[in-house]
Amino acid sequence: MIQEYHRPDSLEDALRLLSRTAPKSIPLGGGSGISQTKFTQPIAVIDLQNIKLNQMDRRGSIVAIGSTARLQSIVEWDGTPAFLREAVLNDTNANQRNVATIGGSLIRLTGKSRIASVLLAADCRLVWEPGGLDISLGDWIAVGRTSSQFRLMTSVYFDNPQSVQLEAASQTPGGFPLVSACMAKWKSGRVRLVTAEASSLPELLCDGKGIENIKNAINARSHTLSSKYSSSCYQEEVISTLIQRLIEPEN
Amino acid sequence: MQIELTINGITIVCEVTASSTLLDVLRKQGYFGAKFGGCQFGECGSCSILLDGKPINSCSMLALQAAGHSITTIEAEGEHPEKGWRESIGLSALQLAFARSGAIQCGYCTPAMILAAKALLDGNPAPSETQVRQALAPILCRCTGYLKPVQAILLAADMIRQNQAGEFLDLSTGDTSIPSLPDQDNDDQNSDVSTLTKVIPQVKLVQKPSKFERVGKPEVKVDAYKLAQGKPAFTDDFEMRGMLIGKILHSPVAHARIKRIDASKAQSLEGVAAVLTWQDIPRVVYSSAGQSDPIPGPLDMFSLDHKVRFIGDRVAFVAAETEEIANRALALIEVEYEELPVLIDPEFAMRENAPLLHDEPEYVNFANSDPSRNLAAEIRIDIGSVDKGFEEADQIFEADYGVPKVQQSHIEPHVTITYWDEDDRLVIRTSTQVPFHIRRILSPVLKLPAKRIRVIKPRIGGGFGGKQEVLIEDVAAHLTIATGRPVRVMLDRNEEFTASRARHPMKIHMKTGVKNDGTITANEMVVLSDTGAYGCHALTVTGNTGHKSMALYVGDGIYRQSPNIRFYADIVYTNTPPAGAFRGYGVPQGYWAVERHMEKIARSLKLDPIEFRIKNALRSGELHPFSTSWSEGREPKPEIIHTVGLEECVRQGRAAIGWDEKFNQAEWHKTSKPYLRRGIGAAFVMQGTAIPYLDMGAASIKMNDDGSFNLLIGATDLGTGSDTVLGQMAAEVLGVNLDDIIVYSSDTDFTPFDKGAYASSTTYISGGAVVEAAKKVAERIRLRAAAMLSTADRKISTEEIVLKDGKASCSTGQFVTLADIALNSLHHANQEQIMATASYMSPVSPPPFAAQFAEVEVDTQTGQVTVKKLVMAVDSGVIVNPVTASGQIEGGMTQALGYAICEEMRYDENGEALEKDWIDYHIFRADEMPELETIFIETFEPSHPFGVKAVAEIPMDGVAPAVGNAILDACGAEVDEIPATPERVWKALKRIKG
Repeated sequence: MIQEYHRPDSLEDALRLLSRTAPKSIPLGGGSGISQTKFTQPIAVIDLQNIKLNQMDRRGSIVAIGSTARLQSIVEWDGTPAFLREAVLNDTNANQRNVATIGGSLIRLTGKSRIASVLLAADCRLVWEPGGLDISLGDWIAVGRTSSQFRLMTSVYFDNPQSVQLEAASQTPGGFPLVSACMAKWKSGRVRLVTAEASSLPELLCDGKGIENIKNAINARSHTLSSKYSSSCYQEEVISTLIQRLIEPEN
Repeated sequence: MQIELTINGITIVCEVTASSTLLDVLRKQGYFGAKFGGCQFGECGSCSILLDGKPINSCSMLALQAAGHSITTIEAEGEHPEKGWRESIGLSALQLAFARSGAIQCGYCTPAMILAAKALLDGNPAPSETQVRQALAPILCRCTGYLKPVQAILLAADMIRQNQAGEFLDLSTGDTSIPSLPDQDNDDQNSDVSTLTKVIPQVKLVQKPSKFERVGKPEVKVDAYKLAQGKPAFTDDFEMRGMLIGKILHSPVAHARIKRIDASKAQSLEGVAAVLTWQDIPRVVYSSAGQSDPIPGPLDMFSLDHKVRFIGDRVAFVAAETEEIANRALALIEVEYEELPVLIDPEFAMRENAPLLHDEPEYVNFANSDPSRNLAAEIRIDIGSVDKGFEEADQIFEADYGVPKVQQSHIEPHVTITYWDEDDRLVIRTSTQVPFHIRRILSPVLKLPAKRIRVIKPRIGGGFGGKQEVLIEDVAAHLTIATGRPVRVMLDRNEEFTASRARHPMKIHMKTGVKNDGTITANEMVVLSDTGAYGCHALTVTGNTGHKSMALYVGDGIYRQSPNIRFYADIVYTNTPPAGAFRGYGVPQGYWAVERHMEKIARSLKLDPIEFRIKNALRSGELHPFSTSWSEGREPKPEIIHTVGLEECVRQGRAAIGWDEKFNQAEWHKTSKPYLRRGIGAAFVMQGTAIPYLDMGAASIKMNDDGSFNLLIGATDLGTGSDTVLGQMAAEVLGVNLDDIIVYSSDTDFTPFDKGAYASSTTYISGGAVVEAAKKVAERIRLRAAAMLSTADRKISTEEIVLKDGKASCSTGQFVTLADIALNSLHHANQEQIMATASYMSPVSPPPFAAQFAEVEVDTQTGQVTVKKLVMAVDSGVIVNPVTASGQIEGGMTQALGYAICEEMRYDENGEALEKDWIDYHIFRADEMPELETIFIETFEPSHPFGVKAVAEIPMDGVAPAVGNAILDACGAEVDEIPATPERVWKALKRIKG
């Protein structure tokens, strides 16, 4: 149960509260994921709404978004790349966007999240306090999610790719992706490819230059497991199809 | 702790805890317009409010987060135009538009929709339809199919721009926006509005009915204004001092005996008022199926038992001061289970050595139920000479089909409040379709005479069959008996998925004999139906699977005169949550198989699939083929079907979908992408209208001293608009406006009996009772009017008196108003209360018919199916209210769309549910809907005074097979099991490729 609620006015106060272990304290962005969660132990929530962590900034090709920026403000911001706006609109409805934050969306990411897939493909980086820790989303997914050193996400940023395309198969036009593939390309020729299946976390398939790299990565792809959403056969073949659509859209 | 919240411009101090949600606090403060759908992640959006002018889910926000922000609820939006001496601000344009365009069915999500629309229009006074749909996307509606809410918002926007709120949507104006359809012979009495989409469906008349004043008119629903204001009309919108929260401990294992259960720790927890286990309450066997007496199924369950039969089964009940304490108490109950082998696959249920679910000695058989074989019910029906029919066929077609378990997903969860009244009578305030059955069924379970139980049904936030069940009323009642205090029990969404009821999943084998010219010589369906752990509705649901779907195609020529039809079914127990009633009641399952099978046969014989169906379909004047063999209610009796508008349905439906320009047109099937293919499909269906010789409804009508009337009905409007339709019938007979009929339903103490809302019966059965009661009242009025108008010179006879426009007139033009008559009868002369009660039971069940069409786009690489358009042309007899009736069709088609494409409840090998929320169990949202079109083909059913037939269930029947046939048409994939998920379509495509 939620035992305590705090609304600090400064980052320092927030970090001080979050450093406590009794009761366990967790940051509250929009709260859409916390308010009805049935916690097994007493917790304290640290509401970040009074801390200015919602700024959005675009300098050159670098896009930086404060972790408590509401998804709706991201949709409305002129500087938001089209791929991110589209992912937010496809993943969430207006009620969710008016409350949920980009930080909270990444903290709770799953394979159903287009936001997570496109940001992973865009090689998004996360900045954490205390200490200003800077870690790529991919590394955080791999090793950081269970680490206690990542206490409070303050911002996300990425070097805006030239293009980010996502292909997915879902049950209905508005349903979450059962499987998806997402490819980001930069002018430098760098290409990152991410695949996802609804029950597991999005996975970086390759990061390199040129389409050949991608083809090799597809061939080297590890065997997937059936989930409650789809069989391994379906995942393997359809994800390959979606990747093919990304790399050879004309075919 | 205390916080200040600013709600609708007023700052108030509220007592909250750190974990209080904003929704909880708002409702405690009396803002009941925000509703709770039981969901954990804000999936349903019925709790929407505006925070700083933007819509949010109040269930997903802590109250403390909202401090310092501006909160707007529906209560600030507008008010009823009549507030006595105080001038009313009136309803807002949005509220009026929702009420008048039929956008409100059950009304549970209406306040949320109106607030979402308000936020949209405040920022964008001229939204597109797409923007409106996006604004509505956060709010799930299981009733409307979203079309009318979208129309309402567009209308409101239009009128706000023109500053004409309150003066718009004159439904009697002409229609200019409906495209022409072939040979229109409608009388154009129905109309449209001026925006992109039309409110009133097209009505084509096969037979010209009598002209009615109120029947056939798109009257505003009698409950629309209160629902548009978010008034506290539902079960949970009710506070009592000292009310406890009741909770259920559910079984974590699928099959086990309870070896030991110790509730002592839970009982000693502060704030716990009672903990009940099987040791504490009477052991009374019963069925939770809300059906007439005798229950047509086995008695196989107890309120609490020492055995559990599915994950989610009941283990104990708790009543506590708060929900938090109740949940903690549940965790403190110690249970030791002796686990038993689990039976999940119905195919294994009747095999030797299969685990037996029901070995209790109290089990009461019904008909051929046999718990020693896990058999809840068995059906064997042979009509004609089936084997001879197969011998005479040129070809035999056989195939297997599968349909899933799916959930009713009414947005209002099951909720019940119980309390002892001042006379020590138990009051059960509950969201139910069957208040009278609840009283009868619970009486022995509670050891309380029925006369000491009163059941009150407030508004219902959707039911769809899920509330044709005594699901939690006994839980609350036991806890009130134990504590002496009021108790509220409300299921959350997880419990709705794991411990409620659902549609029976079935495996269906079809075998059909056909001549090369397309004449069906014999038709056979063999069904294995999975009733889950208990046999509620087992026999009757599955009986209807055959009774309705296998009756449609009788064959042609000599076979038409003597059809050969076989329907066999085994309905078996498994260790999964029980199935039960769900809109369509077994019939959608049957039509998936029948209509997919007909398509295969037609294509295999290279016959036109529509012509093949028409050739073999039932026709007017023919015998219902099952009527001599099986009836859901009583012994079967031959029944002639008098009205069949099917061929006209087909003609109009195929024109609306553009069948002739698309079917067999190779170019049309192509898209700009080579892997996307278009397809078109059709399915024809029939349903029933009530259960003959069994269903009975009654009505009372009482005249008030201003000439208005109270219409008291036991019928339960679960959002369908039946209160309105019944009011229209009374108004028609009594010659008054609908707003002179004050409809009240239902309360077992005050309203006459009605069997409840199921079997598509209310308009027909309860309507029959209303008409009879109204006729009796009208006769009393005529008698008195004749006396009042008679003079010494001229004696007026009652036959001369015509009731119209609130007056009783005679041929000379003289009249008295009904208010004059009421005052005369109550105060002036030979005083009497003009009042009558009548009941109605039907010897027939006239079927509605429909042609349903679907257009789809299939991704042939991923298997993803996108439905682009659904058309339904339906013969439901005379349409009493075209707006509410088309709302039924649109909502039903949308539920059926989910059945076709995405809805499915699955279980792992241990019986654990894989779908427990509205994220994994997806129901369609406003922004992903296909185009919907409804066309009514009116016939006049002679067995009803206004010629009506049923409308509510039939839209469930044909969407799935029409979509399945369209998938086949698009890409050749034979999908024989629904939902047609991407993987199922993909696998079907793989089978083609070998």
